[in-house]
Amino acid sequence: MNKEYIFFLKYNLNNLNIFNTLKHIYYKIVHLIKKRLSKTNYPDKHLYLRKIDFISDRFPDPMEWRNILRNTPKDSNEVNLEVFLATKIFHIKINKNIFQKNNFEDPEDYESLHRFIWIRYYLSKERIDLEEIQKIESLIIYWCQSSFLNDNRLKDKLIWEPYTVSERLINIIFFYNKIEKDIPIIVLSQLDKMTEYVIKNLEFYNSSYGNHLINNFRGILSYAITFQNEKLIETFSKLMDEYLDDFIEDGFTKDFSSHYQLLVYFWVYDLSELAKKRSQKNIAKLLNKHLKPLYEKSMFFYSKKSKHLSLFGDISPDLPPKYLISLLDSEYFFNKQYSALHLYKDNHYVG
Amino acid sequence: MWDKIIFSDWEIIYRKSNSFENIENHEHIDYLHFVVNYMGCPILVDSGLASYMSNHIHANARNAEYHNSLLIDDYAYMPMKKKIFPDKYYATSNSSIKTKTQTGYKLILKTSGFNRIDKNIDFERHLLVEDKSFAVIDNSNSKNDHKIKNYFHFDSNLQFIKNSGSFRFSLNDTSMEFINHSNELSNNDLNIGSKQYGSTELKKVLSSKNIINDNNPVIHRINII
Repeated sequence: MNKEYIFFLKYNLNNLNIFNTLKHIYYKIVHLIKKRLSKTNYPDKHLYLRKIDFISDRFPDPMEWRNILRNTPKDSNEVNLEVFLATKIFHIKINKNIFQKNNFEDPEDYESLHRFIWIRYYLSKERIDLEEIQKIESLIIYWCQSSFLNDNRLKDKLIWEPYTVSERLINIIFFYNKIEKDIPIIVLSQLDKMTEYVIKNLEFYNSSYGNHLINNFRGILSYAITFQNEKLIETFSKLMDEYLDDFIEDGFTKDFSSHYQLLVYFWVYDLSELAKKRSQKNIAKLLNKHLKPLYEKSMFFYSKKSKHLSLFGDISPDLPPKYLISLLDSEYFFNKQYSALHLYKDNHYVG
Repeated sequence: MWDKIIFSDWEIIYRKSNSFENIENHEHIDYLHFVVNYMGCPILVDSGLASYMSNHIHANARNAEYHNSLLIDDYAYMPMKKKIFPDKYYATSNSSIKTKTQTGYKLILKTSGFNRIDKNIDFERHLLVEDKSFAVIDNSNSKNDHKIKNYFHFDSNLQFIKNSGSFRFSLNDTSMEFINHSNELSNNDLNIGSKQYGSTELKKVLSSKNIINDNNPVIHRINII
């Protein structure tokens, strides 16, 4: 028998602790029943978020859709892009490869692919390759077209985890902002849909939450800033402020992980750059309040002299520590060519 | 949440508080654990976590033994599957006191976590940092004998030379020795470390097994030779 249960048995026999245990079992059962009966994990004070219509309908009429869909990419279109996922580099030869889930042993890889987080590497180089940009855009359009047409292959749960949807939203918006190109209507329609989805599926866990909720807010605010949705900005900047205040203590995030500390710093930095660029002073101000402490406490784990980051806790599958270090240290390059700082500079196109 | 000691060329980083009740976090069982850097370079490190998959070889890397930590009677200061137990069973009171001494720094990490094994243990880990040495002294306040297993995880870039009773290694032209291990782990899951999700590397792990009681603290030390 596992000795832990012997210790637990002893605990129950001492000082009437058995009553604590019975109380614990009672609360667990009540919690389980509540969870089964409840349709949402939103705390009561935030339930209103599910009832408000934040996004107005901007679909063109059906005739226009026919024209829009006429020239969109097909399953067999060549892509030839190598993308960095959570555990491996994946070669997307043709469009439909992104739906072949069997290629991925670790679900984090499949999620990473559909988060479009790999776009960041292409935009982190000193010089951005125009050909690569075109391939990425064609893949984004293909994805959005498939989603618009309710393609069954996109119905996988992993693709619609709110965290994954938030990341997809953020990275597609970042891509178009970075290349300074108008967003095609088919992509716009899916950004609307994804934002609506995140708002209705925020990662509250009743009375608790984690860093995912912060990233949900980041996704919604990226959309709100880009499309100047004042209603969203007002509601979600307040929520972001409230939850960042609670999630960060003395500059440390409550994740108890040095890599997640760095990741949250990246999120706040990333959103504040967008807010600054789009002259959203109030959002930039509330994010700036957290940036310096987050930076200082990220540096707490890093030595510029030896380029070493001391790891504690979990390691995130999103962006590796060695990539995120480049945000702390301008002399540091991941795989000798990628720097997160390049994301926020005017890069030169080649090709 | 975290703190560090910087003295001479040593840097010791450690956790100093419990997690927060209303937050889903990414913590490991790593109170009592610390990392040691010398001149910015890692000596004793964290094992990281290579995967979130439950069938991965690194799936248990959140456990105390994957850290520069210890087990008493094969148990950590906190049960691994803590959520199945009532809070009060595993609620541990942890505290840390950092003081400057005449020769360096002393850190005392206290935990009541092992008191579920023996209510008199009131475990204390003392870290002493001096110019030429770093010592870890583990103390129990119980008269009863308990088995203690210590683990020390070394950075994969260090080169070791086995000496009688100690391991020697060098870092930036400084020679060091690690004293009082009884066992070098090999071909063990604990030898696996990760610095990036999805990738693993091998590292050296030294461990020791001793009996601890109120008269018998367990001491490990790194000396600069």
